[in-house]
Amino acid sequence: MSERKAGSWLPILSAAFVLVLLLSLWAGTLPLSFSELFAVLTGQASSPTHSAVVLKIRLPRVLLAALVGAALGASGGAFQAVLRNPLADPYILGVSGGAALGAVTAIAVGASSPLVLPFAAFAGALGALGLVYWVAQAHRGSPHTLILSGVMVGSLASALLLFLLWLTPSDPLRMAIFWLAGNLALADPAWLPWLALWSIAAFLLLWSQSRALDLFTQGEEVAADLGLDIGRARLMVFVAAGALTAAAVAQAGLVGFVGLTVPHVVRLIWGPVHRSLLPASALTGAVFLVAADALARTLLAPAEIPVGVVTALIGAPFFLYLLRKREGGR
Amino acid sequence: MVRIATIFLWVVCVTWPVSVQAVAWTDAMGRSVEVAAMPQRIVSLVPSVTEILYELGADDRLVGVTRFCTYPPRAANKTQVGDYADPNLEAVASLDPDLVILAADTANPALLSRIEALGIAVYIVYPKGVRETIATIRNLGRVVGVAEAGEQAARRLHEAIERVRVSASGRESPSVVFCVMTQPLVVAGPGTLIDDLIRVAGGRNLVPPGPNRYPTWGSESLLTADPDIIVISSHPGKVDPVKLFADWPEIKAVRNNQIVSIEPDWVSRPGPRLGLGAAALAEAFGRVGSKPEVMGER
Amino acid sequence: MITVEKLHFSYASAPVLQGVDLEVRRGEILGILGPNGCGKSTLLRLMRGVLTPDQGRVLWEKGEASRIARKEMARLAAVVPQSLTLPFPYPVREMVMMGRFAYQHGLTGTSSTDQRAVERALAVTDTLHLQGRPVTDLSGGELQRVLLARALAQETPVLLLDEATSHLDLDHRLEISELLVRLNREEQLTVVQVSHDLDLAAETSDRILLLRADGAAAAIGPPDQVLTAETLREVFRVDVKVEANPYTGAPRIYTVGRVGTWREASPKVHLICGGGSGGELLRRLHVAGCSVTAGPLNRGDSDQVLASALGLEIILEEPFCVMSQAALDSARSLCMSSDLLVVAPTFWGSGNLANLDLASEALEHGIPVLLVSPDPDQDYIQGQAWQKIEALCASGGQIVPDAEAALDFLKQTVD
Repeated sequence: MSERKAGSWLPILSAAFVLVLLLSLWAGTLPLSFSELFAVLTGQASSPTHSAVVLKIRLPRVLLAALVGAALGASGGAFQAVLRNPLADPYILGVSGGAALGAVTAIAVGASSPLVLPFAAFAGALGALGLVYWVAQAHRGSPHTLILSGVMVGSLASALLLFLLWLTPSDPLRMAIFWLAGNLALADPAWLPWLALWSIAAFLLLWSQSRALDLFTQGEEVAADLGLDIGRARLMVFVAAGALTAAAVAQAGLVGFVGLTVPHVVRLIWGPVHRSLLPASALTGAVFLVAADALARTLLAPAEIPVGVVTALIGAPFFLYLLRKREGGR
Repeated sequence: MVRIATIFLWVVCVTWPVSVQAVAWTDAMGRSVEVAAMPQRIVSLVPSVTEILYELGADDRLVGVTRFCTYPPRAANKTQVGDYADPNLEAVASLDPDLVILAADTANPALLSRIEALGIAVYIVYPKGVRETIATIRNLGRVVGVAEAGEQAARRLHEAIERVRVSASGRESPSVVFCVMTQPLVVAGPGTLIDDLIRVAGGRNLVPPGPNRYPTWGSESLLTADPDIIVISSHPGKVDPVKLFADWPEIKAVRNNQIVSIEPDWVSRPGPRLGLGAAALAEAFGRVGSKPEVMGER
Repeated sequence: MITVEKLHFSYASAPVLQGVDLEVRRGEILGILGPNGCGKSTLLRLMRGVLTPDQGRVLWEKGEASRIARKEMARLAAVVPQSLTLPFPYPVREMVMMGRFAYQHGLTGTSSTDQRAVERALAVTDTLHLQGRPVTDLSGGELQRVLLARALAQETPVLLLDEATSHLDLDHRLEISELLVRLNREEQLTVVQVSHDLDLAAETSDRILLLRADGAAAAIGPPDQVLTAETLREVFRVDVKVEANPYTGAPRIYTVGRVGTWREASPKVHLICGGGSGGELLRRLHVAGCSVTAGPLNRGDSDQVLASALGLEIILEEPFCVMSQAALDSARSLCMSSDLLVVAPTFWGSGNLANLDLASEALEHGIPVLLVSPDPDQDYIQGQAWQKIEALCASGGQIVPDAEAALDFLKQTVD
């Protein structure tokens, strides 16, 4: 890992983000030339439909995808460090189960309004994470106990979820299923500014713990010997990474594969130091999800493929390739 | 004729107390099914079939239904055996039926073979379009031993559909997007019963053929399709359909206030009420031709 | 510098440390030695406040160890662990930079002081050339030097080593030890090292704390006073010879009296025991490579159970019986073909009194007889047994304190 390579993430990822942003604003069911896109972006659109499609439909959705991808990428990196497990993902600690249970409860009782759903999912996610943390706290919060209690809370939540789905009549049920598969079309654009503010605040809190995360990867006793107040640092990371994941899940459902793959890939390319890993994972997550969503919208247009399918279809083979390449390189 | 048949059957029943005379039918899957000439204990695992059996006056011999069989309302008084795709087999068996009716698109081969293993006759229907629905009504009449009632009910639906078709012909054909779900937007594509009804009612379905008969659309696809009219049939109840699309004045249907809600069961259940669905659609499509200003003033 | 007072500690209910007193002096190298599980590492954890003692206390100048904030402690004492599993490929330089955590705040960049400390630590440990390599690619020796570098980057007055070199090759072990001694001399670095390596600890430590298996201190002081044959035998239960290293003068420990001690055929030893009196003797003699026989023993006697478990040849007798003539005869023939007869400190009654007659027969046949710490209080038949024991002693039977002494005797006579 040369110094030059380690510092290269910012220009490369920024350029990639701008490129993907433009491509994603350009691609869609409505054919649009680049000059027309440019006209819309500079406020000189000739057709109101063009500007409506770009500014009212594509832009909010691209921004949502970017925020959700960034949140999942950064929180995934943080959870992998705290759990000392490069294969952990933000959903491992019951967050997904809790959020799904919250959201489906809201859907089942008929509160399917875009105002209620995110709150319910958010409450469910934080509730599950809190429960996991509280249980693991009895064993000084070792990664082992955290993962075990996370899996248990997740199972409990999914059992309750299945029961709830069984009770639910068919129509709201279908909406719940769309939400569970990850869906960027369900969010109300009015939430975007709040999601942005929330995510940025949580990210900054998480980023401030970069050195603590570096130390966590060394094992808790070593981290304590190097001067880390383990209990306090773990709580901070949980609050920040949990807030990011919960907000992302609340807005977009369970988009899989971003939180697992992105930090891993970033670590392979730019190294594990969290000062750069966290922002690089956030940017990569944003690039990845925006691109995946653009594909989901255009591959079978006018129909849309679930974005979670695309993230897994691109993410898994790429991940395998990187693993293979790294192993072969040794 | 019916009386003669009934007397004949009564005689047969008395003289042949063990094996009631069975008739072989070929169902929608091409299977040959031996069914008692006058089945006495019928279980319907299809909500639309339940509706048809009530329409045919065979409901007194209907002993079991699914929990989704909600029409006519008194159907809810029948013993419920669970889901259509995953009924409680013990409940089915304990009703001791001599005929179970399944639909090809909601049941699965495993369910079929498990019911057959109980020694129960299974008749499968597959009413995928309007024409097939009419045929299904006629066939069910024969299978449950009320052929004449079946013939009449089939003719009634056929006539209702034809009336709609005639009334709609010669009118300008509005472009339609039919939403079966609004969050997310799920639309009815070609190959669906709804697509069939849109054509009957003189509309033009804008959803192109694709791998999925009910594809999910983004708002952008709706904007790009720009339909004359948007039809919504979903149960969420709380969401006001007009408000839902209010943000998109770029769409003709929104500008002209052509957003219509239709009772989902009228268009999604291949039964006697399809006529109501077709008529409601035709009425809505007919209003598209009238001047938008008039609609706005109303 | 660090005062440890009457320290008691237990995990769950198993006591680990029992009343350890210790004063770590500024600028010394203190070695902590002891058998496995005696609480060496636990003592180190208590010293840096990671664990809180059940009784007693650990005092630093700033107060009690467990009350000192982690960051503060990381500026007082740095730890070099035995090894580390590393899931993430940090570059060596970043790894060493982690040692500066206690001096940094939030997201502020690394200061020039941090950079200097890291460079120096890398240079001193000869890892400067590794600084760009991922730690996951390092060899065990390289990684251990990097861990030492990180501890040095903490720039603490005290360095705690928890078997930091025990799985390294000899050359790396010596290299790190020499480095520690140099840092200690040049910068008055106080070093507390937990070790398995008696010789290396003896070479490099100013003082040594020897812990017993039960977690109590066996001795503390300069190596040549602590590492004596008697103390080591007591603590480690091995027979050792201690000599001075001809080059450094430090004590050197040679183990003796283990399996394979005998060059020719292993000596035959018959043991008269019972009621648990022979357990330790059976085990030690067997482990030392003697061919041990025992009996007669009652079936179900704890010595019988142990002897059978060790696969030894024994003469069996039914429980709660006076010894049969048949059993005595078999025992006699075993005795007469032995090189040595050992009488364990068992309880004497009418049932086993005949054994002592067997012993005197053996003496008459020229077979040496050892009596392991006999005790008149164990005679339950009004002094009859004790009389026979005294007679045995008078006619050549020797009294020895324990199994080790019996083995010593065996070595002198057989070899």
